[in-house]
Amino acid sequence: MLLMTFINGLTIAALLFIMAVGLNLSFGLLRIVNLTHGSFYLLGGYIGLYVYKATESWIFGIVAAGIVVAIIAFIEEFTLLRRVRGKPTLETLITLSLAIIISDLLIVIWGGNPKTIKIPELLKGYVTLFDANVPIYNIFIFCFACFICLTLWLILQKTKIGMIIRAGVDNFEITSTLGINIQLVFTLVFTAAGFLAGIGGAIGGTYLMVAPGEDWRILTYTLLVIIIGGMGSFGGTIVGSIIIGMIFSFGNVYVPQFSLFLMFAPVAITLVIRPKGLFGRITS
Amino acid sequence: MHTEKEHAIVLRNVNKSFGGVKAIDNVSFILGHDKSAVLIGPNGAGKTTLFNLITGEVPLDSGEIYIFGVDISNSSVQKRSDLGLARTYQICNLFNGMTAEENIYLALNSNEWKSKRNKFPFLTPWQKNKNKMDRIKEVLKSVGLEDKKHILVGNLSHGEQRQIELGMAIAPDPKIMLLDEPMAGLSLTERKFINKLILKLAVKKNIIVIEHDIDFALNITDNIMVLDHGKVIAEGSPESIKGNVEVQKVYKME
Amino acid sequence: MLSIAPNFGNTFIIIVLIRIMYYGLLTIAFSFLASQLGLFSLMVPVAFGVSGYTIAILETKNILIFPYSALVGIILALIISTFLGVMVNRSKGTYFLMLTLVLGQLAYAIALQWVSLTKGTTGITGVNRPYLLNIANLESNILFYYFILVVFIICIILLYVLINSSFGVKLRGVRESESRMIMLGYNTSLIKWVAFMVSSFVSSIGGIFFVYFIGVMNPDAISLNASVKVMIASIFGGINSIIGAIIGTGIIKIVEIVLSGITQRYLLIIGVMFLIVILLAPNGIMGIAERISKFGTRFFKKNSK
Repeated sequence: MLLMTFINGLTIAALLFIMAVGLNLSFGLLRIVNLTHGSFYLLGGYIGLYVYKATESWIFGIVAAGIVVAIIAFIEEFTLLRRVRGKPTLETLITLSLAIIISDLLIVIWGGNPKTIKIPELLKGYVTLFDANVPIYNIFIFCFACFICLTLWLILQKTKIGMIIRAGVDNFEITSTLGINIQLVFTLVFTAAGFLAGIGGAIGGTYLMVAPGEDWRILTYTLLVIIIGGMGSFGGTIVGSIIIGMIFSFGNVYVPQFSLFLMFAPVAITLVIRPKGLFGRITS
Repeated sequence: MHTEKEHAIVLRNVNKSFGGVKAIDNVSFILGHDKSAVLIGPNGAGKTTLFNLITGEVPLDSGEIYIFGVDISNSSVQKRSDLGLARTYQICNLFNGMTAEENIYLALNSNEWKSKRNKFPFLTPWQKNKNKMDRIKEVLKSVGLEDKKHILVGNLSHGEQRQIELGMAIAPDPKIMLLDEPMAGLSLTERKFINKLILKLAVKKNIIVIEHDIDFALNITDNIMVLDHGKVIAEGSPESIKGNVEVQKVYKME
Repeated sequence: MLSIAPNFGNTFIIIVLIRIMYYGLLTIAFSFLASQLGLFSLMVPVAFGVSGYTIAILETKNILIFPYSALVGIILALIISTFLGVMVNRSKGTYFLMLTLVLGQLAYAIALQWVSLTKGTTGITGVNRPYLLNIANLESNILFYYFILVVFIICIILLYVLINSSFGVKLRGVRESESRMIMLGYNTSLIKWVAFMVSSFVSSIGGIFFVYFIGVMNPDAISLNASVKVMIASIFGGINSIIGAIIGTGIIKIVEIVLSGITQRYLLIIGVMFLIVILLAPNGIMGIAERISKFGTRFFKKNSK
């Protein structure tokens, strides 16, 4: 029981990491929080479901979800957010209004009933670990998150674009002096975050469910991860995801009615002791 | 041995580092009761940091600071301003979306200007405080902006914003004023105006001014202090400064 | 305008006006923080929900009746706001928006999850209007209308007085440059916290009227949709003025009523309207009015010369 709860927590943490890492990087770089991120997740879930049903390929569904959401994120950044660049509040309000529009649109298209994406044959079944039957799908999500984590880490550390992103997150003013097209980097990071959210939606939709309201639920948890971990911090995102994932999982098992009250605790502690987040160095 | 009460400001072995870099290195100096001083030095010498330490916006690492004999080394910004300390900033940090009048109003925050009769500060319109309104009028007049009191500060010209900045320092009627490059980026006529204003103030108050324009600075006082790499390298009259070898070294390198 | 309407209106108009007023309380609570401190708080409805739920629980369980239940509701809302206010006190801008969104969502989720107390999605039903306004026909609505009108006006006057007091100047000082305020020796955390409490107070009063008028308290009242609608209304009317907030609430409520008769998905249309307003007229209707009046005065000046 304890082990299973722990593994569930780790799975949620992995999912939250996929969601939060892109959002947090774009937050650190653009200094705006993309509130459309939750809608991207849910949209990814629906597209994954739709394509999976049409093509009978789960992988296709995942990839399609990533690509479609990435395109929408690109359009959002390129056509809307750029118009009001430099006014962070307006930018954030635009992302909020888009989130409302998308989440209502999804109900119009796919209705209000919860749906589930079936786990593909390959990832079905269980592995016995000590005394617990661990679903293979949980292990898959965890491994996938590790893969994304490693890939992003390598990109950030080893490539030129990674260096620019790190510099931009660290010092906002420096970006204009680097002599590169920083707007392009913004768009790239924003689009990549959208891609991850789309994939996260399809993968998460398979683990949880695809339903109206999930967009705001996941967005809330994702933002919690960022608040706790620290804006723009890669390591903070990992730690924040694990904290929230564990609270979620253990809270649901041991104090089901009050699991959300538990969420207040880490936020309150973080905000009082380290207002910038555990690993945050930059302020808003 | 002097008693500190006779002096406006006394600094004793003041130190401050930022992340291992010594910004202020064992600075000591005394500003006499009726004296003013000019602070010069190359960029990054620590002039503004020294101001921040005196006003308490940045805490000391070690050392002591006295104002009129009171040890303020660990006092709050508020306590220091109540003792009669005010300053201006090199880069204007004003309330841009508010009127000139409101800017000065907010600057009147030392105890002397807190109205004792006003029992319901939340319910009385702020303009009702006659005491403060008279003072605001006076201050705006002295900085030459009495006809701009209802204009948003963000809409004023750069020179006028400097005047407001100065007005905010004057407002609580401080005894000591720290002026951080009050004339940076001003036109000649504007400089003349501010120059005259500061001269007038210097008669009644102790002023420390950071200024690159030595000619102007010497108008106010012939008491010069040269700061480099956080250290006082020379102090005294213009002649003695000019003859100082270290000062020559610093200014040749520039 | 609001006070003469019932004389020639019918029940429907009164109901609409009552709804505009209790949501209006919520909107001016939001607008107060947004205009004076420049902070967009998406958790303004939390106090609304706390007072509403408190009354609903106390009255349906026969523990307390009006006005004691309402009093407890306000006090509880203020106690909870105290903690929330301390939590968000050090942040600003986008971060503040995000933080309040998260805290508001947590409060919503708790209302949904704590079934033994809040009865979850269905909510608490059967809250009766207090004796003071206890006749279930048209007249009771009129009585209710006048009661809320008086409270509504008192709240607006209260906020105007605050805005014009020395405290109001300090709030705007924090909005313009918090760092300078700190350097001038002001306790900006305290100033912000007091403003936050005032906003929560107004919001909690809205909650009282809401629960008595509707008779039902469920989590929808504090959902994200609710907070977003409050924000949209406030921005619609013009973020820099309380009057704008009221006008905005009026527009949003009327649009909502008209559209909800046609489609369930009216939020989609409100969202699109919001997007257009942000992109084209970020200062809302009051901003447009200002521009027109400026243009008008210039126009007249030209002509009179």
